[in-house]
Amino acid sequence: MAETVVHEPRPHRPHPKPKDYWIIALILAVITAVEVALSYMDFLGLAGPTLLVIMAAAKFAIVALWFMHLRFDRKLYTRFMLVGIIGALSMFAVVLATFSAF
Amino acid sequence: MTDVVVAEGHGEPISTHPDMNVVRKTAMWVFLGSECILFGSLIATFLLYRTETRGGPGPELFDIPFTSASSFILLMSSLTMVLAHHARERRDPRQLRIWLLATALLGATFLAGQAFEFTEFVEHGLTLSTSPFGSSFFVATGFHGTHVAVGVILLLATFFMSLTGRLREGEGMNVELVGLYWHFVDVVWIVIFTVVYLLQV
Repeated sequence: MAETVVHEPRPHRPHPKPKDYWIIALILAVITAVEVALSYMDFLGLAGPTLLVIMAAAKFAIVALWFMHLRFDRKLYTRFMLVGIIGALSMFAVVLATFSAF
Repeated sequence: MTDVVVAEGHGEPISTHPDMNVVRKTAMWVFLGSECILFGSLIATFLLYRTETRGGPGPELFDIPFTSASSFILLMSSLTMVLAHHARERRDPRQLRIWLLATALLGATFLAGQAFEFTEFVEHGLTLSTSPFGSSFFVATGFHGTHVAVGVILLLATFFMSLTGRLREGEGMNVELVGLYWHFVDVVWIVIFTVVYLLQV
């Protein structure tokens, strides 16, 4: 009996080489260093936390896209991850709104 | 454009059938998606109780330079993990074992740092039952630490499977799945480090 599974492929992109991975790790290390420095800069006001969240999101995306190969893999896997992220953000909103934390 | 994968009975074991790799990987991504929601709820709970210290110690106990060093270690373990995966793709068992062991060691170092941090906090009066802040902090970071510990066990198991020749040709997916789990543990820490530590000091 034959079973047919249909997948949406990514446009072909060459996978990174070890040198690329080292460069990505360096970028992640630099972002982390900037994050730590920012956390000590009280004079930034609301811009400080905003920048920290943006940089965390950037690190998250870099690891997911390159180290977890989402950039090169089936779109289906990206969708599962996005569902999880949207679910987590919804959880944030519901929990914090329910207990009037906003 | 569609990519059609046809699975037909060739008399080979179902566990090594090429389609099983797609099934395993899909299952792992579904699992990781659900884990996002689990950690989302834990971090949301922490945010809810972040100011509820009930007169006990709070975020002033956080040692940002120390936790930053731990974060750096975990971040670099993602690099060693992806290099292990790359070695597996190139069918280089020696490099695979080196990078798997390096990843496990970095993970164990992170865990040692977390154990040290928890001990310090307890000595300064912050425990699981001190306050809602303490409870939500220890549950969120402790759950993550448990995931790291499971990851280290998986990495060491994969390392020993490779060492004893039990990581056979058709089982390269094992390394990829362990890698996905490990990178996920890393991205969760990226969020915890920012939301639980950096935004609170």
